[in-house]
Amino acid sequence: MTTETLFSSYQPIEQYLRLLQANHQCDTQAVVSIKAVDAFLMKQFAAYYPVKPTIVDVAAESTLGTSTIFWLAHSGVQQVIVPYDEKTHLDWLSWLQSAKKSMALDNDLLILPQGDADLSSRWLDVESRLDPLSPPLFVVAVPEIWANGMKSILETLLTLVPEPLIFLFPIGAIGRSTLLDVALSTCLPSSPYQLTVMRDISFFFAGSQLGLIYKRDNHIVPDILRRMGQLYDGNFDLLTLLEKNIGWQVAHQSEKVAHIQHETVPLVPPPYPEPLLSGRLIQRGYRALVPSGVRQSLWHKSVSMTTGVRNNYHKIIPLKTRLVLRDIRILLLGR
Amino acid sequence: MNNNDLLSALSRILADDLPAPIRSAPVGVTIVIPNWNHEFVLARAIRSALAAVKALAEQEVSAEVLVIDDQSRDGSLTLLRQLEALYFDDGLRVLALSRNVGVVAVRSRALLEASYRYIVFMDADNELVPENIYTFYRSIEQTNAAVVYGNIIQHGLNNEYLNLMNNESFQNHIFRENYIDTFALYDRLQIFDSGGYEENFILHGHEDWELFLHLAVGGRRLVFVPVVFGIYHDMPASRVKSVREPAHIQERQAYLDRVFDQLGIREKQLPNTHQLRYHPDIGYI
Repeated sequence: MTTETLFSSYQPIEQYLRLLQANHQCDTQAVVSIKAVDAFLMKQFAAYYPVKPTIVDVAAESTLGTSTIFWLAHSGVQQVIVPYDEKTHLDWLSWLQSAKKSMALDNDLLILPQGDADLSSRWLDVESRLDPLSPPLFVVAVPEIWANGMKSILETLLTLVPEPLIFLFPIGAIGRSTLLDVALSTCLPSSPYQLTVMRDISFFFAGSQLGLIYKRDNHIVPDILRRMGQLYDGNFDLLTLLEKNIGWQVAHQSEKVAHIQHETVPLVPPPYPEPLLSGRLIQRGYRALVPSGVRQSLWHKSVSMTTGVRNNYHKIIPLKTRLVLRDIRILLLGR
Repeated sequence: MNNNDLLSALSRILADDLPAPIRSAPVGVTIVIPNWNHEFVLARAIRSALAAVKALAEQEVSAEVLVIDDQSRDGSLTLLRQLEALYFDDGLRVLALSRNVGVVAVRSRALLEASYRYIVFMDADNELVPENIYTFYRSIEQTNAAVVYGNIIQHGLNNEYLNLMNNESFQNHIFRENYIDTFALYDRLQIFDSGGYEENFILHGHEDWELFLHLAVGGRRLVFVPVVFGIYHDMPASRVKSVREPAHIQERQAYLDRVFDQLGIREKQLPNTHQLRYHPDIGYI
C-alpha cells in the first residue's frame, strides 16, 4: 500500500532544518528551498521507478544539503552522489555529514569534489562513479539569478547517459520563470527530450515547482506520473461535492417545509376577495355616530332579535336567497 | 506475551527509531485526529481543527493538525491526501499507517510523531470549538497539568442538542465510572514519562479512562476548566456503544479494582488532582 504523504516525505527535511536552526552557527538561509509537495513527488517517483535509482544531487549546495538529507532518508535509492565545486563555501558539507550521523541515515553517500576541469570532464568523472545497474536521477535546483547559465549544464547531463532523468526546481509561473524558459528551450518539440511540470498532473499539485525532463520515448515515466496523479483522484471533486451537497440540502429543506405545511392547520383564512367595505370602518363609524347608551340598548335588543332571526332564519329565508345574501356579506365585509 | 512485551513490540514495529525518552518539544499544540473509515465526517473535524490552529496563531502559539489514518478502506486516505495538498501550509499533516493497529496504538504513535509539547486527541467525528482552545492552552501552561479538559456538548445525528458532558472536576467516584472524555488537551511529555496508554484487551474502549486513573494516582494533575472544549457528535456505530455489555463492564471493573483499589480504600485517598477547577482569568475555583 502506498502510504507516503506530504508529511512523511517532508519529515527528514523538517528535522534537518530544525538541526540547522538549533545550531546558532548555521544562520545562512538556503538559496533554494524544497516544498513539501515537491518532496512527496520526488520521493514517490523514485519509489515507483522499476529499479532503485542512483541520485546525483546537483542541488546540494543551493539547498545547503537539504536535498541530500532528503534523499539519504529515502530507502528506495541505491546511492546518493553529491558533486560540488571546491571553490564554494563549504560549511554546508560539514553540516550535512554531521546531520547524516545525528539522524542515523544509512544510505551510501559519495561526495565528489569537482576541481578546475572543464564542464564535460567534470561530469564524466561523475558518470564513471555510477552503478551500471542503477539508473541515474539528476536533481538540479537553481535560483532564478543563475538560471540563464543552466542550458549548457542541462544539455551535458542529457547526453551523459542513455536514459536521462532530471528533476529541476524551482519552476515558477509561465512568463515569469527564467528556469522554465531555459528548460523549454532545451526540450523543444523537435528535440528528443520532454519537459513535464508536475503541477499539470493534478489540481492538488498546483503548488508544485518541480519539473521533470526525460526522453520522449521513455514509456515508464508517463505511467509513473499517471499513477501518482491517481493517488489524488477521489470520487469527490470538491466543487461538485459542494454543489451536490447544497442541492441536497435545499431539496431536503423543501421537503421538510412541505411536510410541515401539510401537517399544520393554516392560521390564516383562505383568501377571499377584497371587501368593498371594511368591517372595522363600519364599526368605527357606528361608534362615532351612535351614543354609548343607545348602543347598549340596541345591542340588547339585537341579541334577542338576532337570536330569534338566527333560530328562524333558515325557516323564513329560502336557501337560494340565503346563499346570495352570504355572497353579498363576504363581498362587503370580507367574512 | 504480557502487556508490557506487547507494547514494546508494537512500539518497535511502529517506530523504527524509538527515542528513549522523547526529547523536549517546542511549546505549541498538535491536534491529533485518528481516523478509521470516517470519510463523510472527517472534513468537519479537520475544518474545526484548522480553525483552532488559526486561533492559536493569532495568539502567537504554534500549532498543527496531525491526522493519522489507521488503514481506512472507505476512501478516507484519498480525501486526506487531497486536503493535505491543499492545507499543508496551514498546518495540516497526514500520516498513513500501512496496517490497522487500533485507536490506542494510533494515539501512542501520535505521542512520538507530534511536533509540539501539547496534544489534543479528538476523534474524527468530533469538532473543536476554536474560540476556546487558547483558554485551555493557557490553563495547561499555568497549572502544569498533565490533562486539562472542559465541557463537551453532545449532539445527535440531526445535530440536535443531547447532553452536556465532562461537567465536573476530578473526584474519586471516577474509579467507579468514567465521566471524562478523551477529547481534551494533554501534556505529551508527562503522558509519555508516565508510560502512555496501556493496551489491554480487557480495557478495550476505555484505555483513556485507565490513563486518567493512572495519571491521578501517579500524582499528576487533571484540571477541569469550565469552558466548552468541543462538540461530540453521536454516531450510530460509535465504538463506545459496543463495549457497554454488562459482562464486559464487570470484567473491566474487576480489573480496575485489582490495579487501583485492591484494598477498597481508594475513596479515602484524595489525590493531588482532587476537585481541581481552573480558569486562566480567575485562577483556581
